[in-house]
Amino acid sequence: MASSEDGDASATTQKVALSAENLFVEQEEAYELVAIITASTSTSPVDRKDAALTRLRRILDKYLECPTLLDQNVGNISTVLMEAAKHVIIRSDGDANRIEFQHCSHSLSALYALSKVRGRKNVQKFLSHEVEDVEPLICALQQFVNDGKDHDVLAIPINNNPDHPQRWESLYMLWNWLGTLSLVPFDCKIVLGDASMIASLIKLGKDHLAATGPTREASATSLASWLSRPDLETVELAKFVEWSSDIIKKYTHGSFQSPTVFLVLGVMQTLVTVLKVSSSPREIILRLMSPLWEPFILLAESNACDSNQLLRKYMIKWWSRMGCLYMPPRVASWRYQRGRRSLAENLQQTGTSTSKGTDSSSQGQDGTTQKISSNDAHCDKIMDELIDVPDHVEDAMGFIIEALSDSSTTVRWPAAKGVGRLTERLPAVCADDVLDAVLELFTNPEADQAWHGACLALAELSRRGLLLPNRLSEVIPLVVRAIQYDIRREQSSVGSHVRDAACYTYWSFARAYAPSVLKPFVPRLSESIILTCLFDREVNCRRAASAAFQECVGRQGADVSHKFVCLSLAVLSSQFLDVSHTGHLLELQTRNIHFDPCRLLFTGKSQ
Amino acid sequence: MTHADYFSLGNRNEAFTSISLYVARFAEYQRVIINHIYQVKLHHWDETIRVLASKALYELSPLDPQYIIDVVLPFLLRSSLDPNDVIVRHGSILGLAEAIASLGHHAVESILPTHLLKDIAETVPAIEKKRLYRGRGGEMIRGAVCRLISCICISKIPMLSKQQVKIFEAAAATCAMRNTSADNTFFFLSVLRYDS
Repeated sequence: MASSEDGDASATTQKVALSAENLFVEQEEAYELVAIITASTSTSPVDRKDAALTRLRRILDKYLECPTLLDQNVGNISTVLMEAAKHVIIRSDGDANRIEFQHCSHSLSALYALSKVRGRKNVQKFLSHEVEDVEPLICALQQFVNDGKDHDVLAIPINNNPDHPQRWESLYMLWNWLGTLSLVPFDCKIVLGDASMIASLIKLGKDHLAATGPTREASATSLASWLSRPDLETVELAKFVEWSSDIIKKYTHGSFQSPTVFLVLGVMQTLVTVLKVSSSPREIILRLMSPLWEPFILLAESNACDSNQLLRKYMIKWWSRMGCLYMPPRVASWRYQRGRRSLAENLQQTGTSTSKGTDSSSQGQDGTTQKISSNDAHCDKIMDELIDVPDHVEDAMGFIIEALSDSSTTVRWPAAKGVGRLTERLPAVCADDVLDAVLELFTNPEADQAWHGACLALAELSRRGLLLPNRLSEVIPLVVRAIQYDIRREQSSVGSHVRDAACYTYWSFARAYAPSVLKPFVPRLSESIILTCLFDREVNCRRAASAAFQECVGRQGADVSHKFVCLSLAVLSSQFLDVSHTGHLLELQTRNIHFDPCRLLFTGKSQ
Repeated sequence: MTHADYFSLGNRNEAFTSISLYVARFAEYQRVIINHIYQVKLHHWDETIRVLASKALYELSPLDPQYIIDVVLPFLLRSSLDPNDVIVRHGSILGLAEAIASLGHHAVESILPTHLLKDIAETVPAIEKKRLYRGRGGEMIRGAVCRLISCICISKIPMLSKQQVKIFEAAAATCAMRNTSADNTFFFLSVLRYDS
């Protein structure tokens, strides 16, 4: 993580890029399989295609742990597969010819297998986005759904041979494809002709939001990106909001015909995705979305979402994105500014110059960047006081901070991010209150979940420069305690997640502050982190701690300790040669799973 | 510090014993590490961690023997008779054993003050007397006591014949419970017998 950032490592990365070609071992076989899958049915029978698909899935699944190794090939493979599917879908343009889905289902399933490994968005960007594709694809999706009406559209097909392409995989990819097509930059009226097409698309999307499988996610994001098109926003999004508000109200009241939780999830995901991707001015999107504010407050206050963590996660996303909408985007004037920083410079100071030299140079650097002329500072202060914080923001912040101690990690993470994003827009006084609220989470030493959430929030705040140096003396002792957090519960203990998060906090502190700011705290922090590094029970904590400590040595430079001068990254190569005797590296190289540029080179050297 | 990196720390045994020794050579971390080991990790809830911590203490003791003698040993002697927590007792007995074994590379009678020698010799009979083998975790304590006996023997801690008899009885009782470490203990007991 460190070496990829500085300039002189570009040579290193180039070399690694060359070797990356060799990292996808089954490359040739994969292309052969793709050729079989995309061939027409006359040349390759279905059995052969099934076998090829199974083999391709198996190959790709091997890369689930380190999917970036596929990066060089994702584009080529997805283009070939997409072209094959497109050939089937587009050729039968018009309503007379029916699309024979069995001709393209293998390609679509292979595309799904790829997007499962490398991520939906990484494959999506290689799908076609031409104007003439939009209409046929909507028709195809419609026909695909209609064909499936005989048996349940949303369920896995009756033919449950796992080698066979699954129905939902095709559906998933078609929705993703439509999501890409929503980015076509021409007016809908020109692209689609009449309004009925778009209406049927939205109806189809709404139907799919209740799906129980992964197709819900695909249709929600796709629908969101259609709805946030500027030409559909005013009418269609407004209608969608009205419909969603109805669904959420019904769900909150838990009436007899209340919607399923899956539908609510789909609706919420669509809404939060709209908030994320929409590019229209803040006021417009706020006006469209504000009717939903009340229903969501009621939903949050009822205990309807207590049992579903996915629901709580989307709620937090909603609060943080809506909260951000209520405040104009701005860069907090009061934030801690450190200015330019360079890892290479730090390391050079550590390696060559004496401690005296580094001290004076680092001070000079900080002095110039931190100095804001008194006039500017005065203006900013006045501006700060003028900013009005709506009650909505306070409500949202309340929900988010509460969620920092949620029982599930997937909720605490977005909550921490929400704290960061929202605080960035607040005036300094309110931000101070936010920090107080976060620190309050540390008061109960038994509440491991609150400690975890609070550590994450502190890390997010410091990364954005929102944790001002004058509060560090309060914060650091808590982080030191969190790094060692371990609470005995009956026969075991809890706290590895807190220690892990605290290492992240330490890591982000090391990156965020100038050496002179952090200097008084470094000895105490380092002692704590070294102990976790060496003696933690869990391997992930030891590794997190060592990564954080190395970051600190790199970023905080010689100030950490003069001893590290001789031990810093300059020694990495020779140490690595030592370590490789244990066989770790050999094993890694054969497994091909490690892809840190710097490490990889050393691996090569030590063999 | 690159000795302590992503890969080397992956193995817990290595992290505890060899890498910690490497890091502890830096003066500013030495005390911190020793303190953490004997105050925190010896009382960890996981038995394997307690064993590892005691091994780490064995490795670390030669770095600052005076500190071990002045501070760590008295602390462990007290806590190995802790009436409340079996985990604390177990870890302390193990730590005590390893610290004694480590110091045993020198002539213990010349480096340890007499009151400590007396206390160490008296520990095993005291555990017996306080009936600390009883209850939950008793068997675990017996295993640790066996290790302590072995280490006392290796380090040739001077003992009265009455104490020797007590120790022999303790090991024999453990042996009857089919604890594997007892066999080792008998081997070391024979060493003791020949020497004294």
